[in-house]
Amino acid sequence: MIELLDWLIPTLASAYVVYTLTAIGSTVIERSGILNLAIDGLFVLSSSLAYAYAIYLSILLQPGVLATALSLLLTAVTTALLYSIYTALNTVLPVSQGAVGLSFMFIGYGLGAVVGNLGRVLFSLFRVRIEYISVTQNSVVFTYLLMVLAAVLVYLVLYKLKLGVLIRAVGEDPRLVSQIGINVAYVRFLSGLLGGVLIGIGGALFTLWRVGGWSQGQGLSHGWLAYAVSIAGWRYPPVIALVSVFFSLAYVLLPYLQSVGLPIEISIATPYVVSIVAMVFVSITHRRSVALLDPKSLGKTFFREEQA
Amino acid sequence: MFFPSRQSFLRVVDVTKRFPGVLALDSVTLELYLSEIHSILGENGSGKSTLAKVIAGIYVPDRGYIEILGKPMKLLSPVDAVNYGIYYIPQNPNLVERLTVVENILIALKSYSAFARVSEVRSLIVEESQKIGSLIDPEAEVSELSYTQRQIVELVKASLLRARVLLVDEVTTYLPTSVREKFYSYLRKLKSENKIVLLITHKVSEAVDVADRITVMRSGRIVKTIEKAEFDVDYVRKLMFGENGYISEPPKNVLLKDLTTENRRAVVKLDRVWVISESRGYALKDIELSVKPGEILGVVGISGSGQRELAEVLVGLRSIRSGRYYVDGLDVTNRGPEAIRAAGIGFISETPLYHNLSGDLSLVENLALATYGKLFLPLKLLTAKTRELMEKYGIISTSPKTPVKVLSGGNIMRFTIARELEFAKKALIVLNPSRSLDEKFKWSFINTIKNISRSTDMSVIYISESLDEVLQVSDTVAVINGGRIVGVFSRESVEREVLEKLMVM
Repeated sequence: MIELLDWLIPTLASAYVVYTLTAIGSTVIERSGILNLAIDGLFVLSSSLAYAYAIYLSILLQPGVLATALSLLLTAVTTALLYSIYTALNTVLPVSQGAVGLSFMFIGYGLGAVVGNLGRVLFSLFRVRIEYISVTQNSVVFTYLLMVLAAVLVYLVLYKLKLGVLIRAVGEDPRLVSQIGINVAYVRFLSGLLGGVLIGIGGALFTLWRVGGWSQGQGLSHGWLAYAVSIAGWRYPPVIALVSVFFSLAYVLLPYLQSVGLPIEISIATPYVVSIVAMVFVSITHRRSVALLDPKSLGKTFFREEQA
Repeated sequence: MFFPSRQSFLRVVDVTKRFPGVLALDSVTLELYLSEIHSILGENGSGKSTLAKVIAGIYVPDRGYIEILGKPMKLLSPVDAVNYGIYYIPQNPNLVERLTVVENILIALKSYSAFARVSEVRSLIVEESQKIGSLIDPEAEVSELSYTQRQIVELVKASLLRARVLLVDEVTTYLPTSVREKFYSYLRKLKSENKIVLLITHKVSEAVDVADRITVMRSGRIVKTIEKAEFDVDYVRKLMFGENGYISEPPKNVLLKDLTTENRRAVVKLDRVWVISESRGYALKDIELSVKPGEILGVVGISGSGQRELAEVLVGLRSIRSGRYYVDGLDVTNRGPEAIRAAGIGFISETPLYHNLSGDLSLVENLALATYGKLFLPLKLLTAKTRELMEKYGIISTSPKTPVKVLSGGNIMRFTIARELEFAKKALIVLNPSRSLDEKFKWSFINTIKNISRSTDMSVIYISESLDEVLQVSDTVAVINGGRIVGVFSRESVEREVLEKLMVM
């Protein structure tokens, strides 16, 4: 038992951090009323970007902590920019958010493959080694604490600062908010930046810490898992930090379950079954607090002018 | 006439605005001076609100422009308007329901950066709402507030924004008298601070009492702008309705039916009903009401006394905590709106787009939704029916297939009335219908209700904040106050003063 925990706690940490950050990032975006259908594609892209940046920076500087940290940062910035374009575009264009979201998803898959393979080419030319992140037994508790802190920080931004109130207000009723002289597209642009940074870090850590390498199609479907975490956590950061534990557990225990004889098909399906069960559970529970309700205008096309 | 002291601040220059099928504004030109209360007076659909929204930058005119301090603003956005101190308070307050008062006000205040804390503005709100004369809890969620409280939040917001031009769109329509007086004196105070108030109203008396100048509008055009010296109720009415259009008096009472001798079973009966409030405590307390066939029961009370909750209980949208609700002897307590509508009970709400209609669907589809239960819709038949209703009730819409939301507020109300009168067989629940109806149509609506109730034995529960309407329409009058029915009287035997006292008690 102790052995299992010794293995589980550090293994769980990387999955937990990736899903929690990505889910909280997605929450920030969806609280502003933008349906985050792009998530899986942009998650794949950011995990590929992290790999390509890391290879490039390792060649440019030298393999080490600095190159890895910088590639993490660059991935976060790139993803933030992409997401801010995504949220602003979804507001400015009078087209369905579904169409824009799915387009971005496929663009993400495609670009992810291109970028990752570019990294591969660089790797085969220069043969550099990336310094991947590893967390020691002793410092692993620290990463959990860091996640709690991240959840609390995003909570404070969303519920205690004007920025967060603006984000939630445009998620509730963008037309009304625009009538009091607020630029809805700009607020959503900001929510894209903030949410995109978190998703970018999540995607980067997936490559640089959890997997420790890159292969074709890496990250696929993990974005959706994080999305499920966000919804199962009622798009409310403290709850997300909690439910994310169960999702990560389901994912991490897979190889273990296989080793004790569970058929591989069932073990692969487990996280998705967990997601579906959790989402059904969430949709039938009665949410007493308003903060836990879905944003009222989530996924709705925004037209500024309409006869009332 | 020459007024040397007048200083022009804003001009509307030759503005035309067209909506699908409607010419909402037709070459409108208007000048606003600093330190005046200027009333825009007109019937429903005369273009008043559209004009205000053009000034506030919410609508972009098809032709013409707004000029501020002599500078033409070709493309005025709401952001520009707010920066120039133009602030629009719509009839339905512009507040995000699920945010708190303080959050709603904070997002409107430009002087606070994105990193300002929510807690910073809390005390300002308490202070400012005290100045207006009605304390508001900054932490209350807007959905818990009454209509009046929401308007006060809007005023607090406008005054914290230091608005120079306040566009007030039908705000006073349903404010209780005491609050309305405070509101008027607040407007006068704004005027004395060299500000402009544009008071949009369909009430002649309000315009004449409060304004310095009145601009009368009719079907998208300005009929005339008149000075205080020319104010005369009859003259203004003539300008507003044309020479012949106006019914000068409410209709004479149709002979009252003798309900006492008819010992018939109640159609609608509430038996000691208690309903929980969204905020805290009970919204309705121990309500006992019963209505006989053909009876019109008026329920009157000042704004926020439990009228909305009562209506929602009667149509099954709110659950009953204790007590029973019977329709024609059948127990429908907490059986939901399906059971109650199936029993033949119609509903006309003060907020049709919230309670009655789907804004994105057409008139025909909305008619089908409520009245047609089979799988395949006979669209031709329904379209013909819709046309018939449009004609009968004077509903102005490009076609029966137009989405309901593009109609004007008054037309949406007319359509709701038309549909529910068509649908209701046993009883009709009416909640504050005249909030968006002009005087002329209001009285004809009240007449229609009376006639239908007389001729078909349909019962009506007419819930309203207007004692005039209730006295006009009812056989029996009940007064609601603080969620309790505090008195039930037969119409002939009760004095107006008695009811007024009970309402504010």
